Amino acid sequence: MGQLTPALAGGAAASPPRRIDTGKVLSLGALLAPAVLLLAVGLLWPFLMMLRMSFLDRFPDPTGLTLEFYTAVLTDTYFLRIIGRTFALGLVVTAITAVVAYPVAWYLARSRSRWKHLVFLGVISPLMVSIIVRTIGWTIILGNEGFINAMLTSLGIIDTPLRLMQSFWSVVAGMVHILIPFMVLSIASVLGKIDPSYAEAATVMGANPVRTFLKVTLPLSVQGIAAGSVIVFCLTVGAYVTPVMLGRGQVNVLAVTIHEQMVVLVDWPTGAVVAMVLTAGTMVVLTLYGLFLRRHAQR
Amino acid sequence: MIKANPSDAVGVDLRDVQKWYGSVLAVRGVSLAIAPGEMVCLLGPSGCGKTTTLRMIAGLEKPDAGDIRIGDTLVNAVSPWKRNIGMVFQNYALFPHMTVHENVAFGLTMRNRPAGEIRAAVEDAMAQVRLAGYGDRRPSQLSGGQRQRVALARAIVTKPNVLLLDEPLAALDKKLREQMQVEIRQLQRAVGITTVFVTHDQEEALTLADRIVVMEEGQIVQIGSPADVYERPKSRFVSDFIGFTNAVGGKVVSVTGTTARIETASGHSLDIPGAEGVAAGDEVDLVVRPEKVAIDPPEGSGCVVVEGDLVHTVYSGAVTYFHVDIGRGAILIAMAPNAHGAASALPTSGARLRLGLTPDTVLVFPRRG
Ligand SMILES: Nc1ncnc2c1ncn2[C@@H]1O[C@H](COP(=O)(O)OP(=O)(O)OP(=O)(O)O)[C@@H](O)[C@H]1O
Ligand SMILES: [Mg+2]
Repeated sequence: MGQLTPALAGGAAASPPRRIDTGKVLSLGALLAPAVLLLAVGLLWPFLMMLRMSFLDRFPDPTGLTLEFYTAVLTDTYFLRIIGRTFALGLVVTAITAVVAYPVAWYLARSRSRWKHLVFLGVISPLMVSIIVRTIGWTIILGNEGFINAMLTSLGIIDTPLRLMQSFWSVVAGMVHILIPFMVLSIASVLGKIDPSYAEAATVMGANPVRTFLKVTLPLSVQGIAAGSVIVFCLTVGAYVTPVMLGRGQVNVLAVTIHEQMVVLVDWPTGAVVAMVLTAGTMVVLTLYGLFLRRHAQR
Repeated sequence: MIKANPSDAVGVDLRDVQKWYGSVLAVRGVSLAIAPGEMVCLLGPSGCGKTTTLRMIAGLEKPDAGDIRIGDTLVNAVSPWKRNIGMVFQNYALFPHMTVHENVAFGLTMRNRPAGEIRAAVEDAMAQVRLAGYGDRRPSQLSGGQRQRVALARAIVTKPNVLLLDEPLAALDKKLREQMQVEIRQLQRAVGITTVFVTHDQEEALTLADRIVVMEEGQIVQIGSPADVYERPKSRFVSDFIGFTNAVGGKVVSVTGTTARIETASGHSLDIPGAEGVAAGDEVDLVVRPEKVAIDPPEGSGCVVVEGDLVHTVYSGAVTYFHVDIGRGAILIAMAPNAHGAASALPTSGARLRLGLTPDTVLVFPRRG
């Protein structure tokens, strides 16, 4: 039967318009299975465990469910300050990364220079070095005997070293450096796909380069900024190594607190609640991003 | 109604304009004076430098040599956003993040006009391209022809000095294209704007242009009215491009005045008037349009009769092309309208046909390379 369609061969009852192609479904399922399995085992299961733990009155050996730990965390200024600091860190790092990355992305997307490949390598270089090595590099630059303090002292601008380490901004610097490749690549991929004739049309219609950028190129590249921002924000608020190493215990963020509560203080439910706060924060950002995408898909 | 005061229209003048891309000379010394209010078509095969020439007028490319004037102003060093140009891109380049209204308003917004004036001008322009009421749509919600009209409205709403169109109809199907050709022509006449139109479609150029500029490899090879270019192409290249599909080899036997006696490869002898630039002994090509070759001409009609065997028939709807071997393998194509009768009534291969050539429709060019 030469004319047997794959759908029929797959065994599905042929009843249009809702014909299910079993063969297709099976092969799709096979393709997705590893990812689904990985997500289920590596993400969903621990998340559900954590969610449950955050409502337990004690762990191990729970005797019942309670909201006590949520109330405790969300009314304690110690935790509230950490929550605020973490999301502020996320916003600041995202904003700085976007501003720094945009011109680089522009260059990568538009330039025909033969140095472009070197710039590209430079951009992704933070990804090629271990996070510990990179952070130690920043310690060398920002430390009390570090490069910046040494230079400022020898120039006679300061006589006691500035406390560059252990500060919010040292963590920001380290995070921006680590995360900039994600932002550059997100923006560059969108910029590279924008037809140059849009900007040319704007120019011919009387828009100078600044207005062309603000009215046409920037709005058309906003998807790249959004995608990059989501990645950078989520990675920042979940970061552990950089805040610990560059903050030296002075810049407490949620990931550090979770570790502290669970591993150091062995207060599992409080740690779980903090983890839920962190998850909720990233969920909000992802939801906003989803809404944004849906709005943009319509045009 | 957007309408330029005829005295407002300005001309465009190109003098020895050159453009290099790396080591490629894309435009090699183009000189062209476009009169105020005139519609000029740049016509030529792909890669001959039409777009580059247009982009230099717009200021999107800088000429490496030569001068460009718009009106009396030398614009070589004038930024494109200060040139007051209207341009329609091949892909229209309508901003996807703006509504149709915002797209059309863009040029006026950039000129910082008051909001009320902008709204009125946009509505005016939209009405002129028969799209009133479409302002709130996104470009993606329009058909190809509608997008084309929005692009046109957006280009004329600022009352530019010059309107530039780069193959604006290439993406449309044949019927819509023909309709839009008429609309663009009417609009251009109504607005009275100096226009440069790029196309590689000879029919489009003939329909639209006041003057046609034929380009080849970065140079202008002929400038003339549509009838001029159509009837009297100046070179074998132009004749090929403009639809002289018949070419029969030959040799000049003698030249008397401007009339050349030519012995064709098929063994015929023809006296061709107006043959310039050839001398006795030259190898030449005789070119003629298929529709100028008469089939079975009446006796005494004054044309030269050649006979041959029909080797091939191409039926193409309105007309049929007959490929006739007129001797020693030389093929002459004759075209006849399918006025009456069915295709089955057409002569079949092998039939003997009499063809008539009118000498003054036959052009003589020196044999190329
Ligand atoms: N940006 C560029 N860089 C390098 N070469 C270019 C560039 N733009 C055009 N060229 C070259 O310049 C020549 C003229 O190109 P142009 O685009 O003006 O041709 P065109 O007549 O518009 O052709 P088409 O009908 O295909 O659009 C071509 O040989 C082309 O390869
Ligand atoms: Mg072109």
